[in-house]
Amino acid sequence: MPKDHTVSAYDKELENLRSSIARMGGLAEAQIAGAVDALFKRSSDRSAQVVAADKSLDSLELSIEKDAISLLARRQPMASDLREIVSALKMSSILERIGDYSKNIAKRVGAISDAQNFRVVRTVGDMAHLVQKMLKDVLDAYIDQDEVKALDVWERDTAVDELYNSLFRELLTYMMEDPRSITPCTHLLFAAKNVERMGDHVTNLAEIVYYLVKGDLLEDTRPKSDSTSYTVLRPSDDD
Amino acid sequence: MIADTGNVKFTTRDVHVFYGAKEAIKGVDLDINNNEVTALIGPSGCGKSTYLRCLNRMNDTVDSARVTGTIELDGVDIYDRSVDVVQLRARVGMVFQKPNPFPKSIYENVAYGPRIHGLATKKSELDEVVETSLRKAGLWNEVNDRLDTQGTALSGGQQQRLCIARAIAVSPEVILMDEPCSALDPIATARVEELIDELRENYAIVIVTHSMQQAARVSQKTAFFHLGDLVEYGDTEDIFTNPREERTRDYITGRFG
Ligand SMILES: Nc1ncnc2c1ncn2[C@@H]1O[C@H](COP(=O)(O)OP(=O)(O)OP(=O)(O)O)[C@@H](O)[C@H]1O
Ligand SMILES: [Mg+2]
Repeated sequence: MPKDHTVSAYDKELENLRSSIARMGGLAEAQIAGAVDALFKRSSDRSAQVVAADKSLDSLELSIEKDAISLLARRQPMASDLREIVSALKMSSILERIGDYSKNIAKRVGAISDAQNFRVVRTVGDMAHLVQKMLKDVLDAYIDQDEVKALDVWERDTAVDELYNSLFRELLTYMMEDPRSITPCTHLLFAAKNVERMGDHVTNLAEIVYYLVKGDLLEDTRPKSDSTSYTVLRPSDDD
Repeated sequence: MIADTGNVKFTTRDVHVFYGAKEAIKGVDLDINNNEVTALIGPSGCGKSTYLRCLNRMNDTVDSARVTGTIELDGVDIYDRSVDVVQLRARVGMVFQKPNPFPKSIYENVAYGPRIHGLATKKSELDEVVETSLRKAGLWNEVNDRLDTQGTALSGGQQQRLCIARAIAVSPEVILMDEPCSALDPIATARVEELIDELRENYAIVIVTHSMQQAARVSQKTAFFHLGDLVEYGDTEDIFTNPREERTRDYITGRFG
């Protein structure tokens, strides 16, 4: 941790910014868990809670944005301070996006209830669990200023992508076998896609933490393994 | 700590400056590039002005000052006996913290240098040098109808631009500026900064500034001095976003005790 500033109010403002990000991160984590819980329990109450709780993420993002802009305008931050503030701005908007995805999953709970028998719901839960853990670790990396931990999270997104790829194929198969499953399966597919996108966002958070600590940008050389954009299953494949 | 790019104007090696027994610069290796602005930053008393004044031998005017090491301009040692200091100062112009126009007309302030250096003799030639210099300094439009008035009657920002016009009138190759904007308001400062950016095309510029924002805005290279040492030198962008040395970090982020 760097030394204190000559102007101590500046330290306090930066500290507030950091703790707001940590708070947002904790909320975003809880939202992922809540959405999955609502999905498993087929609970519309639980889902309504998740939708309602998204508002606090929105308002936290707004207050972080205000604080960061005010810091930029008044303190003319340099070096690690500049990185800290720019990172907070980016991280808060990413965390807000992650919250939106959880909310979107929660909203689909009713439509997915019919698909409850599919073990694919479990897979979505597994994916979400991975992402939630990644999010927790990247927040730890942020608080501890630990670029190694951030890199570790950065590499773990592949596992989420792989689960998503296999789930995608599986859902296509179900839908071909039984057209009545198309509605729940499509909603489930969107839910899974949301989790996959959350994973990408957590990866971005890891890149930001790395930049924050090291001052160098992590070039995007991460292997992408979401292949669903060009996956095609034809009914004749079984023949 | 040595510049990595070609196009070097000044090469300075193992530069030490003593005022009597006090060592104000403690062995500095630094290159100054052509067509770049190099900013010298650091806490008060760290030796920025002292180092700057080595580059046109202004320290010669201080009795107690003694300079050792090598300072080469285009490969020629400027402390060599054969070097004419007056010629050197024409090649390496200087603009000071406080605008210091001569107590003469605006015209004379600019014409004086070219006349004594024999760069222009005829009235028409002088007129032209005065106009182009004032134009380059961004002052022409404000003063062309009153070139006969005293330079000292201008506003602070105008006086500073007059001093810059005076410095460029003798077609220097390098311009040294020691806190050129510290007496100016934000708009006059912005004008001078814009001017510095334009001048960079044709000159090597070295600027001492206490404003980190100014260094970040106008320079391509930044050198951080502390207690007579050159602590860190590099691309300005790197120095201000990701300095390598702890002392640089502490200073530019406002953590110096
Ligand atoms: N003429 C002089 N005689 C004796 N000591 C001097 C003289 N000029 C400067 N010094 C000393 O040399 C050191 C460097 O001074 P210098 O003026 O180069 O610092 P600086 O970095 O330009 O500071 P500032 O930002 O306050 O202008 C200081 O300790 C100063 O007291
Ligand atoms: Mg000085």
